[in-house]
Amino acid sequence: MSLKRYILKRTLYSIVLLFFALTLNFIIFRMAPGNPIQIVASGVRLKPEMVERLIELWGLNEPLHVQYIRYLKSTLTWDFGYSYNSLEPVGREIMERLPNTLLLMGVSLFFAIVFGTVFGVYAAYKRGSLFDLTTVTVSLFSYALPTFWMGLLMIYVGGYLFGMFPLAGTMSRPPPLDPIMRIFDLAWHLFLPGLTLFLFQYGGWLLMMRSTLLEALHEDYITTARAKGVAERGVLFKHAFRNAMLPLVTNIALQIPGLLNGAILTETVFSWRGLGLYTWSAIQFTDYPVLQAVFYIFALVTIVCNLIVDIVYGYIDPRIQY
Amino acid sequence: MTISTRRKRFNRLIKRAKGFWGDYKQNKKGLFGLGLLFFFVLFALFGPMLSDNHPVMDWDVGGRRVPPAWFKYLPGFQYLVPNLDPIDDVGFGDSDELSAWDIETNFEDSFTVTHSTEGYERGSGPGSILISLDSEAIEPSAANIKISKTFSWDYSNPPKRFRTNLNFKAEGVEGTSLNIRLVLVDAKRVEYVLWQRDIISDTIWSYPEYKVDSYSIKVKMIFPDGVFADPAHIIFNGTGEYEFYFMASFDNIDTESTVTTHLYVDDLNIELRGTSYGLLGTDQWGRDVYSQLAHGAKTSLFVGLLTAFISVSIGLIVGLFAGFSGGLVDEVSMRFADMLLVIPFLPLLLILIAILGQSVLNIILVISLLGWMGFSRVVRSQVLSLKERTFIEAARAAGGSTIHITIKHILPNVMGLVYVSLATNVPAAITAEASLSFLGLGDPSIMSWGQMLHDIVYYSAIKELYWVIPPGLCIALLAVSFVMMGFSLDEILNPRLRRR
Repeated sequence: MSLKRYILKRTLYSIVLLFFALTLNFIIFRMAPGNPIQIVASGVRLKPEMVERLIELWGLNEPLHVQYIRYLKSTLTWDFGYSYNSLEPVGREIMERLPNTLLLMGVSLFFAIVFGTVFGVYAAYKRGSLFDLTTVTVSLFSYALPTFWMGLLMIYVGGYLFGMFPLAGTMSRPPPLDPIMRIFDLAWHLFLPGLTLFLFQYGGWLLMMRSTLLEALHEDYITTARAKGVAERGVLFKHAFRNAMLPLVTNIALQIPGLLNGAILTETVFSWRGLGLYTWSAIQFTDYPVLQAVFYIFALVTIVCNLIVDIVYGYIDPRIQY
Repeated sequence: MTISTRRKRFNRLIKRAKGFWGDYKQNKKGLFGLGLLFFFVLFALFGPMLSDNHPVMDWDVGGRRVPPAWFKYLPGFQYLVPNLDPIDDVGFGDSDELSAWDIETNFEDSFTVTHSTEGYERGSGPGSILISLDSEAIEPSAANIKISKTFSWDYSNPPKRFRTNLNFKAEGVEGTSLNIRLVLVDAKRVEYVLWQRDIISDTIWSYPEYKVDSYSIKVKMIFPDGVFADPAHIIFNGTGEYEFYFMASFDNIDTESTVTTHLYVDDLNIELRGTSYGLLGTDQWGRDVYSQLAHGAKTSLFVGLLTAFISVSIGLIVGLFAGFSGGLVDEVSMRFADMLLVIPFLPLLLILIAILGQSVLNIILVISLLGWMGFSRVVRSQVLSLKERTFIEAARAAGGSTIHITIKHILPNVMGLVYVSLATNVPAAITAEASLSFLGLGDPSIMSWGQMLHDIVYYSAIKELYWVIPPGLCIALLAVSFVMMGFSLDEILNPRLRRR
């Protein structure tokens, strides 16, 4: 099987996964108690003909399979209907918030990978030393600390105690007009939530990097390299680290769902105007169209990341079986 | 099976357990984790017994949102005042309780104050003060009686809140006008009439309630600042002797009438809620934070252990089944696991709990049904490699059935993985439950650590460190204990990781 066929197979598989997620999404919200009319018109008495019109408008009178096909069609065309709460199109609200979430996740992931890898490699290299012990202990704790609690402490220390960072929000209100100031303002607001989400991931990365490298250092080819007289630095970077890189790449995809969980909690704590906060407020209002859309987007992000990693893997790992 | 083989088998088991413990003892991380877990188990079992307060239902056991009592030893917190009941809940169960009160009247002849066995049943039991007024014996048309008690207030700072109680019943008040009042007198002899009422007709015992509450607007309105006043702050303005009294004044007494007026007084007390409470202070509603923490430990351990057990069991069964039968079963179950793995966990959890309802059983069920996939893949791959080993082939050649081989030969070889997975699944479940509660989707009827943190954010109490630190630290430490145990189990059971 060629690389091309491998990629095609993975892509098809991803599409099947996406289809499954969509179906599950449809079923869950059909199971949900209360119909949209009750939720939108809570506290208002509607005339029977108005209720009928709404039912027709939402297509609730059609058979289930017709509703399902229409749901698939509208979701795939990025048409998620209207929020029960704000009565705005959900697609537009999501597009406003998605960049914020991606920014938060991207920045924290980047730094977590960089710091986790660097310290992880060094800790594995200096196994048993004081440095190893402290980094492992620290990362164990940062790994185990609940994200939201870490966020609360960040707000307390950075926001109240030192008063250096804003307590909540994505931008100052009103936002600065100057574009450069705007970027600084965003970065200033990003610092605490970004640090929280960074710490959330950093420990896991470090521990994983350390253990993969330790395992790699015990392989026979390392002994061979050492026997050949390769310098210790060369053994570490050319032989061990290169091979430990592979699990690292897979782990990025595996981390994405966990990162989304962390992002929801972090955004809620810091009122960061992203998809996580949006999900949380949608749950408060039983805003089903929003939940349905967010759910779909989270699944989409996860599936796409998995696909990308699979493809990258196909290119970089010569051992892979097509 | 004969007894001797059974004994042999038992002895072997003991030996293996001893050998394992010998390995485990060598592992510092593992011992640390086990010790930590042991502490939390003890805390969950016996912690709740150390406090009588219900973590959810018992409001106002102390002042609202006050730090722990031991804070007063810290610099800057010397002002803290504990809870005090200067006049304890007086049920007037016997006449001794009556003698502890000072009784003052302007016409001693016309009043008789006795102990009555009648009392409000739902208050503090039978027994009350009976004040009888014989109207014929009275000269002028006005008379009053005062029942008072003094107490000393030794703190220079005020309490957070005070409440006083009173329950009464009046008989034969027609023809007089009766006014009853509750008065607090401060150390400078300034009198504060906190509550008063004109009784114009006969009354019955009323439901016991706080007649005076320094938090209530009615009491605040007595003071010049109105709703902004803090009566506790104004009245308790320094150390000294304070007096609390109940007064009944009769006016326009119809001396012609032969009716005797009876006034029963019961449940007369005053309680001061301090600016500090207990081991860990109180929350927004004056609930005991220590009790919440102890009950939260119970919730977390229960949810964590049960969830991990269920999800690991599911993962084990699916993994064994998929690995051993292979083919279509394997393909379908592993694809299904894949599909569940790509669905973001927390959003799905939130939505399912929002739909199914916020109960602890739903939480356990949903978390465990979403947490088996990773482990099932690990088990499956282990089974796949075991299947090719010669001892399985030998067992099969000897005529062992699939079920027999799975239980007798495969299962013992994956048990190591099961223990490690249990140890890593528990903290995951604990964190998931905490996240759920933190986002406001926990079980509202029971207290958990996530629920405590939720309350902190909800009432914007981030600055109250005595309330913020304990739950988060407990979640972290409990998670760390399991992670450490998982690590050490992994090191012991997975020889590749052993230090060389």
